[in-house]
Amino acid sequence: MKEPQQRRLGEVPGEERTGDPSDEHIELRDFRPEDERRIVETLAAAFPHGWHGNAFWRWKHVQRPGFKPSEVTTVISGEEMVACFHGATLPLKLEPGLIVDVSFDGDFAVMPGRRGKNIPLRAHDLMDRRLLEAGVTLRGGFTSKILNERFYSKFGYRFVPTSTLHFRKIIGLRPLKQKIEALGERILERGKVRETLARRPMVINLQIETLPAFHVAMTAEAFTAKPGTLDKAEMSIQAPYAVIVSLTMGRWKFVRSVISSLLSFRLRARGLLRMSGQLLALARAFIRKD
Amino acid sequence: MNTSDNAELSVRSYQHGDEETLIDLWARAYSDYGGHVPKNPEYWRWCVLERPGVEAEDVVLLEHQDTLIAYGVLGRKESPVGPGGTVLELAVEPSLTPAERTRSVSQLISVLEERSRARGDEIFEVSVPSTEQFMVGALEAADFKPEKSDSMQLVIVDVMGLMQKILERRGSEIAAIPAQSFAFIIQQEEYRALPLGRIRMELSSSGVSVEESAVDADFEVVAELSSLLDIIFRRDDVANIIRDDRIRVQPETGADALARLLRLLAIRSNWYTPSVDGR
Repeated sequence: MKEPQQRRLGEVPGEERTGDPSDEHIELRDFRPEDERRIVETLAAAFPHGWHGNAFWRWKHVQRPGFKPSEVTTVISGEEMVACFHGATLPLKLEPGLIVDVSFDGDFAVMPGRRGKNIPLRAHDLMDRRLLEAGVTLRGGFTSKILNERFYSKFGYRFVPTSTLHFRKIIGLRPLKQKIEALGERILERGKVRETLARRPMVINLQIETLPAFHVAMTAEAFTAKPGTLDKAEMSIQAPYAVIVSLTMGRWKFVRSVISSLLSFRLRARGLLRMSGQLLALARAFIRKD
Repeated sequence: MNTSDNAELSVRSYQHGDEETLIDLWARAYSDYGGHVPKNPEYWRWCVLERPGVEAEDVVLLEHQDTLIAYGVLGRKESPVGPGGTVLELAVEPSLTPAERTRSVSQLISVLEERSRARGDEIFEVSVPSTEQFMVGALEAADFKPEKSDSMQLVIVDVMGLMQKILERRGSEIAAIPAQSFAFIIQQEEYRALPLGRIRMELSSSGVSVEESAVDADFEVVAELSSLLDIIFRRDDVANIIRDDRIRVQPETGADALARLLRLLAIRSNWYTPSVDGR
């Protein structure tokens, strides 16, 4: 067993410090009703995709049954709010008959210009002490593997094994459009493919069961997917959604799905014979090294 | 309960006063699971009905002759590819046969998915326990694809409190371990602001006492906090942890009793966290 490393309070392993925390004259304090606007502004400024708005914040935090102002820590520097941290103490069932209080943490936000000064650590430490005093047994939340490795694991946070299985289905065109365009970028990395498509671009109409019809234009510059079908399309493909799902589940599942869809007449292609020469040329260009 | 008669399953949306029945069904459907927040009507109303983007029509109930057999709640989720629908809660009457439960899930998911499509969502998501084959089967049959998602991470705030609460649940199993005392010296390799004291456990035929104490014990145990967390949340096996010296006991004659004690600390349920608790 390794000996525990001695660290000063306020020092996070692996974090590059750009300033001594003691240089930063900040005040950590509990939520006050007049803070709401500034908290939401801080969250909106700190999160790359912005924040959901005041009504969502109010619902999520102050309107929660049992909410306590001490569950929201604001960090003030002069007149400015520079960070905010949220927790929610709730009962968590560990197993039948065993329920403990857990602080579900989240919505940690530090204004971009105030990062690297260990503000999250100071808030984390403060909350730790308060939670222990309040009889809270565990703290945690939901996060990605990347964030856990980059930040939380340094504090001893570990993922709990779960049987929760997450399923997803595409029901709109936008996710497919993104996937097709990304696929196009990868395919067009091959110069021979670009040359083939420059000589003869293609348009394919696609009708995936349960999704609106769309068409894919394949040119030497990009693959683009747009809603609706085009009369000038060289090919039209009709396919069940299962074929799309199987594309990402390995070669054999895809082949099986294609065969079963063909046999049930749910997978059809019009213009395949007419375009066979072009498709073969594309396949050859893709396989061939540039 | 049996729904194999010819009576149609009827679908309706939430009506005022349904919450008690819904909470009761959820608790029975997942009675063997841990990893979720137990709900009361006030909390359920907040986390479901009052959630921005959720309307009473998004709470869909499936009934057989006016008796609730399943329900699901459609919530909203923003994603990089646009608006999405997410099933916040999904529960099926556990006394139904597997075939009846599969049929109920298929019907409910189909209604919720249609609702999500109608409002213009781009993706539709559902989280279920992998151990409930009837749910997994129904979703696979409906062409849903398993995806990676964020998971729950935890750190122990009150080490002594957690050990005490778990061991109090083990009752007679403690009495099966010979009466003796252990002093746990817990260390954390990573950063930790909270102190980790010396926890003394006294096992006796009447149970266990757990307290912070400097009083001598029969055995002294040096343990990494992360190893205790691994044991409690079943991330690793007690035998592996002792073999790898991540928890050491002195004198070593206490190793068997320590292993038995540590095994009692392991949580005994599978964990399932519905999307409603992920917020």
